[in-house]
Amino acid sequence: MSTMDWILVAVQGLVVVGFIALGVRSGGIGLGLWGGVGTLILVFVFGLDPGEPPFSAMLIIIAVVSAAAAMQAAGGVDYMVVVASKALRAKPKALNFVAPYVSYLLTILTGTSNTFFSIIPVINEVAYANKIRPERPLASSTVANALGITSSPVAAATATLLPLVEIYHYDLIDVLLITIPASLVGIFVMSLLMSTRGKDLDDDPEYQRRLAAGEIQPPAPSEEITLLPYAKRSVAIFLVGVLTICVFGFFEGIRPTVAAEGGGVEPMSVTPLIQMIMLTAAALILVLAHVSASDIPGTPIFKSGMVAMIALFGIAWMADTFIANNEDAIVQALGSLAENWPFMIAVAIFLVAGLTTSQSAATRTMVPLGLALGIGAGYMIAMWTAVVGVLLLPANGTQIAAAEADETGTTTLGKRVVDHSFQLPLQICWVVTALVGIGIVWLFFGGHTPAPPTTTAPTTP
Amino acid sequence: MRRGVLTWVLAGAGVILLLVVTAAIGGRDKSDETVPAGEWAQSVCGAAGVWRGEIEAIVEDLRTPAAFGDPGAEPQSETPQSRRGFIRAGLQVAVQATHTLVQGVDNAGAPDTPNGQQAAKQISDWASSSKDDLEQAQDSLDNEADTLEEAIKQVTSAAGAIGTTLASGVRTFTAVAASDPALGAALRDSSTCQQLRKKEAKV
Repeated sequence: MSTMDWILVAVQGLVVVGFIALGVRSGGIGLGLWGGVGTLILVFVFGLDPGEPPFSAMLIIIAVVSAAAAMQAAGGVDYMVVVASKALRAKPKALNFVAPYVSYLLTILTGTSNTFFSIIPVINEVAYANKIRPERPLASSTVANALGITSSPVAAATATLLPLVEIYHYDLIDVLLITIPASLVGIFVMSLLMSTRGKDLDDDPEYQRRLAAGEIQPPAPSEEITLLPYAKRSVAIFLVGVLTICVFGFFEGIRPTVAAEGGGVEPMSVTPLIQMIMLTAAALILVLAHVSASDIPGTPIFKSGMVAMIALFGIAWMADTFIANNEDAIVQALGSLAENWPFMIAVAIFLVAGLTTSQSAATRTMVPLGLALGIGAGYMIAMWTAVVGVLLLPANGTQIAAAEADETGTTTLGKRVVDHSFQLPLQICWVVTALVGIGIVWLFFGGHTPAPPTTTAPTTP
Repeated sequence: MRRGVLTWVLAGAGVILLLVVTAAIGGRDKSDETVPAGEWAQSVCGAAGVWRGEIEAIVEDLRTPAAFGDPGAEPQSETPQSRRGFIRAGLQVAVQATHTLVQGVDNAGAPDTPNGQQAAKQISDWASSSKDDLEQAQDSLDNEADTLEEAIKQVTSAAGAIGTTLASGVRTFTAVAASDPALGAALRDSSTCQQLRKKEAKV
């Protein structure tokens, strides 16, 4: 690439960053609208091919929000708040630890971070009802959820990694033996540091402003919540829906099959399953929990969910337009960084994931490079967890949805693009996870690849 | 110091620690060194195995159509034009993978056997020429074909370039093993070479 090409890529990158900044300053659907303007400029001014809007994530948000909003209309969210508050009565702050691990587990079981959309409103409501700054569990859970991809045997990124390391005798079990314990420690340290992050709600100026302006109601003590008659039933339906997704996600063999090459069949992807199951759960809540369909669009979960969807539409479309046209340049630049300074490989993985917003792309491009640079396969697996860097920029659906769900205003997408609520937990989590992973490899896997043979004498003619 | 600032300082210190640890554990550039044959075989077969894994993934992508239920994809969207884009994308990844292979082979150095230098050069030449061939195949897709037959030939030969590099790789490794008995033994005994052979046997 010529210097002019690099300058052009840099200018396009600045346009993307600029419109994200404009979007986060506007807030709400402003993020999506400015993202749309950015896409327009990239296409008309710079002549880029338009990227792909995030159809799957948007449809999942619609389905999951429909189910969660139906549950809220049935009083199910209140019921969950009461139950969780009772369970957390002795230690409400335990939510800061429990929520990230639950989010992490959901991703492991389904292989996609999209299931997290279903528990965002629940985490938010439980936190608020217990006067916990929602940013703490929401931001940690969003990061833990993304990290779960590297611990999931059914995730696409894991499938991309395995053929790269199997030559060094690392199979799926070995990978999980490294990534799961490392992630568990990483999440714990992140949750611990995040449990005291920011001011308590009573001292938070933005929350107090919203409260004084009547934009948000003060949290009702759980004892004062009046439960609707079918609240429990709606929760049961919702949870069975989530559980069903987990079962289908984890056991590929029981999924319906779809047409494959040569007339054969293969298991259906988990994405449409989430959509079908969540829409069905919403319909069942309508019928069995006696909810009027007209009540659903009026719920706070529905409103914030739809705002998140529009925000994601514009911003992710703009990001994809930039990335689809410049991925090679990004990978080449960061690849050169790692080639010149191999100790930067983990940072390069993190940045490639962040700038391409793709864990699979970061895996496919950076892991082979690290191996070629002579870094042991076990260590590369440990550092591969850095693909959680997809949350570096606030262009991810789960980040946008979490920020939108939090009506207290504590969870934000930042003002300068990188100063969002997820940045600190992200930095803590990826560094600790990678370091612990390296320690595990060093202790239990003997560091590098299996030792080369000591003799080179021919054994047979 | 404020608690929030302290947490950021800790995170920054963590990144620095990670860089130090990575510097301590990794990166061995032995391109100008002579290394034991076993070590050389281990490195070269490792690089070739990773490359083969990537090529396998590309071929799998090319073979698999967008199925119902595939996230974000519609089966009817797979037009001839997008199929050409698909092959182009596959070649792009193959070029990138082969560039990494060249680096891995060069970093391995040369084996300490009688024909070591020559063997290392042979493998390195194969990796480099594979990269050139794939780049050429990629460029050939840029030329507008005059006829349908020519267009089909263009697309098939571009896709075929991936298979050709794979086959020539097998031939090169076999030739290297045959040219130097000590190196042949190292290539036979190395665990990554054994794994590579196992993968080849499966296909």
